[in-house]
Amino acid sequence: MRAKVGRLRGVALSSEKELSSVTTTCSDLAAGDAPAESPVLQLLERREPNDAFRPDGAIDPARVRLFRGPHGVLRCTIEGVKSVLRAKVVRAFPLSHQARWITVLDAKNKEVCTIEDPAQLDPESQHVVEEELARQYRVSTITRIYAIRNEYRTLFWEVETDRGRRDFVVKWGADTILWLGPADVVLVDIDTNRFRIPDVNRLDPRSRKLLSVLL
Amino acid sequence: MPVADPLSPAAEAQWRALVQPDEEVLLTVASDVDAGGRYGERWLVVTNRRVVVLPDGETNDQGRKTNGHSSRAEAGPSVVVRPPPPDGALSLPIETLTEVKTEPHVGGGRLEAYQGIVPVPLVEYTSSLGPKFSEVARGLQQLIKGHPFSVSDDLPKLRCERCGRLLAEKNAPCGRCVRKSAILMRLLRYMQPVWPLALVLAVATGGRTIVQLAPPYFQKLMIDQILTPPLAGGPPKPHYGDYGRLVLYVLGTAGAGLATALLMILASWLAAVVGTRVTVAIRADLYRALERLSLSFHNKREQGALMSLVTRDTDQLNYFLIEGLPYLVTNSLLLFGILAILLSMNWWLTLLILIPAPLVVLGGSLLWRRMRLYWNRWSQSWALFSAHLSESLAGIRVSKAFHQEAAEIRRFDRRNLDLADITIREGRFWGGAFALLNFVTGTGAYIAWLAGGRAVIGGHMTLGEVVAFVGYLWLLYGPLQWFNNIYQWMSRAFAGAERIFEVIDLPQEPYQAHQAVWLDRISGEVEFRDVTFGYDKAKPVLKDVSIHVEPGEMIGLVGKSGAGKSTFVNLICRFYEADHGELFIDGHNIKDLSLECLREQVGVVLQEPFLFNGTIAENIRYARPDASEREVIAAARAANAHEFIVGKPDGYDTQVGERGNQLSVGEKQRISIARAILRDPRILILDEATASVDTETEKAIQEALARLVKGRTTFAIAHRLSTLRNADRLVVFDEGRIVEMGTHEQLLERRGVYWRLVEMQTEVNRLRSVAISS
Repeated sequence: MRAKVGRLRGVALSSEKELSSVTTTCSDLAAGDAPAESPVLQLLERREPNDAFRPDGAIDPARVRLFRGPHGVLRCTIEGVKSVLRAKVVRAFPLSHQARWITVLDAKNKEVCTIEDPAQLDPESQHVVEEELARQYRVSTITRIYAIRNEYRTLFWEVETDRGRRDFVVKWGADTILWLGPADVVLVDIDTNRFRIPDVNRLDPRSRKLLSVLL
Repeated sequence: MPVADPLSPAAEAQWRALVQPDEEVLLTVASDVDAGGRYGERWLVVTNRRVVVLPDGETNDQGRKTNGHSSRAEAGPSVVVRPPPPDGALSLPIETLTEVKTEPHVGGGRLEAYQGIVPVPLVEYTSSLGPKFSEVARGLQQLIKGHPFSVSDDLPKLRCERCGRLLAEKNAPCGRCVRKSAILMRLLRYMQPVWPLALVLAVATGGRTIVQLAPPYFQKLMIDQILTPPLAGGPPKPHYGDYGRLVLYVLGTAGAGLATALLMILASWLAAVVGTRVTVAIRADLYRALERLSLSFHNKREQGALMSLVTRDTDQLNYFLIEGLPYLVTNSLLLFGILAILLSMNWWLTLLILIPAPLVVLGGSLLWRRMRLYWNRWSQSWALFSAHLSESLAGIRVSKAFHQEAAEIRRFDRRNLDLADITIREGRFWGGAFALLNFVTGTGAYIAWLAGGRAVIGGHMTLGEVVAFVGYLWLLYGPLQWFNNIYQWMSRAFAGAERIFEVIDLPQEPYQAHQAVWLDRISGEVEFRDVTFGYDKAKPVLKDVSIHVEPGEMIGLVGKSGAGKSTFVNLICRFYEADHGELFIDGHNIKDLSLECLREQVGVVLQEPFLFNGTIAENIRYARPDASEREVIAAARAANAHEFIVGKPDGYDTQVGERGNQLSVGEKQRISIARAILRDPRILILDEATASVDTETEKAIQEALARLVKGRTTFAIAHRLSTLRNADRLVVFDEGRIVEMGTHEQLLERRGVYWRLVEMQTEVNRLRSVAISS
């Protein structure tokens, strides 16, 4: 518990350094030296005494390994830094960047590391991450629409998905019908289940016609 | 809705092969996700000895309802990558388990049993079954601890129990199965106080229908008796050319028109009176219910949804009662009246002119549906438009500071154009579709002239009859266009009424309990005995809390956010009731104490002081409306508020604005303390009363509080530990339990949780002062 206080000190101190580093960067800019990267990326001091993390807090994917322990429990090891016995992976941008920016959390939901591009992980880790994400994010993909009934801004859907047939209810709203692109939509039903139509134009004509209620 | 699901035949067969002798089944429950991650069924069986997950069979019943959803699992490759399903059943003996909990996912969750620190996944489910499996986890947790197994049957309903249709929201009435007759009866009961008016209304409505039928009949008489000459060889016409009689018939037509108008005026006036009276009474009952319902109800319901219940749903009902119901009744009567007359005049012509009727009904309903679509889009667009407007005006400082005015203008222009676009399209459609429908309606008249004219030529019908026919035709087709619409309107209004009645019928807080104990002046002794409580029963926030507080003692509550401090004081106010254990005030169980008596003698000062729109004096008097000016000033003075109040141009008569937004946080806080002082409570609760003010204001508030706590049992929650230095005892909460108790000095000596909190704050304060001075 003494360590906790120590860590708190560490955080507070690093925030002081943050201030000084901002001033340096600003004066650098004034002197006309164009920085290679945005100064924001230089803000964070290295949090661990090693070279696994870049100054912006992102990790070198070559140092990360994710694998399964007994009973399929996810583990995460950062080479030369630490090993976490019960890890969890989450997406930082679950809607706009599904395949990038994966954060590994420990059992207490503290960040272990954030991986910008999981494709740079070793094949096993990559596979495990995909499996875990598929379990963590149960988003069904709608392949066909049988019916949409609109009753006073409540939509009753009957659809075929990649996980089988399903009916669900969506209340019309900006936080329940999420357009990710002109033809890419995610529906959040009243129980917070999620359904996605990645490309409206690839549905059959009947489904598209039914979907016109949304447009 | 119960947690348990009866085993499906296939699962039953599997279970029979697995069951051991003398094994008692406590619960069988189905999840809605199979081992492959697809929608399907997976069965969990809980017995007195073990927890069993049955293997996925291929014999999923087609369309079986598993509490939430139909599970028509179909064969096909799953894109979800998962380990292969286990061959056999998973069986975990209860004694090997240490914990069972739910692991939430996005769009679902997983029930996990722990063997030591190793989690064993049991079943997965979609978010729809989240509450059900929380309850299962809670029940299993009890079983592991050796308590008897029980699960609540009070789960939210997702589907209509009668027709199986999904509900628009949990526990909502089913739009299709709403018992319209029962609701109508209840609405009629609300009409009781105004029944003479309602009776007159009914008579006027019926009368209007009858007189509306007269004009076409007079037309027939005029043409047949007076205007057309008798045919050679035909029946004689004694009134042919009788001008006096013609005047009489015209007067009759005019009289019917006038009577229709008068009855319409009378009926719409009466409908407004009756409808509004009924709505006012319902709205009053609803508001009473909302004020009296417990906080657990208010926590569960969204404020917006409740607002719309009082405003939109009652309004909708009112509108229907005033406009829709009379329209429905009049036109149904008219429809039958006209059909009877037409059939008696000429049955085959009646059948002929009814040919376009289905087309009109269908066209009307299509038109209506399409129109609703446009209205939906329009209101969606309008919502975006107004949301952007209010947001950008509220955030204008930020837009200017970040120099984003141009971007905001662009966004506004886009929304503005969108709105215009939809309005134009709606107008165009409406005009076109309406004209088309009118044309289709007119085809009945063409048939009448074609077939009727031919009959007149052939001598089977008179000209007057055909004219009357066409007249009735228009009366008939008008309502036919909108019948479907009216029916839907009624469904919507009745669904709203059912939502309202549901809230009115909920059990309310026991204000007028019969055998409640009333104590005029409680001394302020408070005792918690093994109290456990959670807003969600699966996640207790307070665990086995026991404490005995003497009258007049000041208790400081300390701990991290979420440790259970605010929940602790909520229970003292009896905003919620303990799930297990008991709470005593002055030796009386809090449940036996009159709620009014309790709340009258408990005073609360919250972190975010809430003031009502009105003057400062009114807000201080909220605690005791009969307090004199002298008392109000004395309370304000004790709260260190008098000086700043009289410094305002309007003094105590200053309007505080909506939620007190004309005042600073420190000012609001001191007014809320004055309010509590005026109440003279025996038990005082200070929930972070000085958290959001500057140091100087804090000092003023501290002084005020010191005066306030004298002679009262006080519970003070504070993150700034220095605030609690006057406390007689400090109680340290951690994860729902009391972990330390004692004076400041005693706790520092223990070097435990409290000591660490103090150390950390000193450290932060030191750093803060360093940062300020450098």
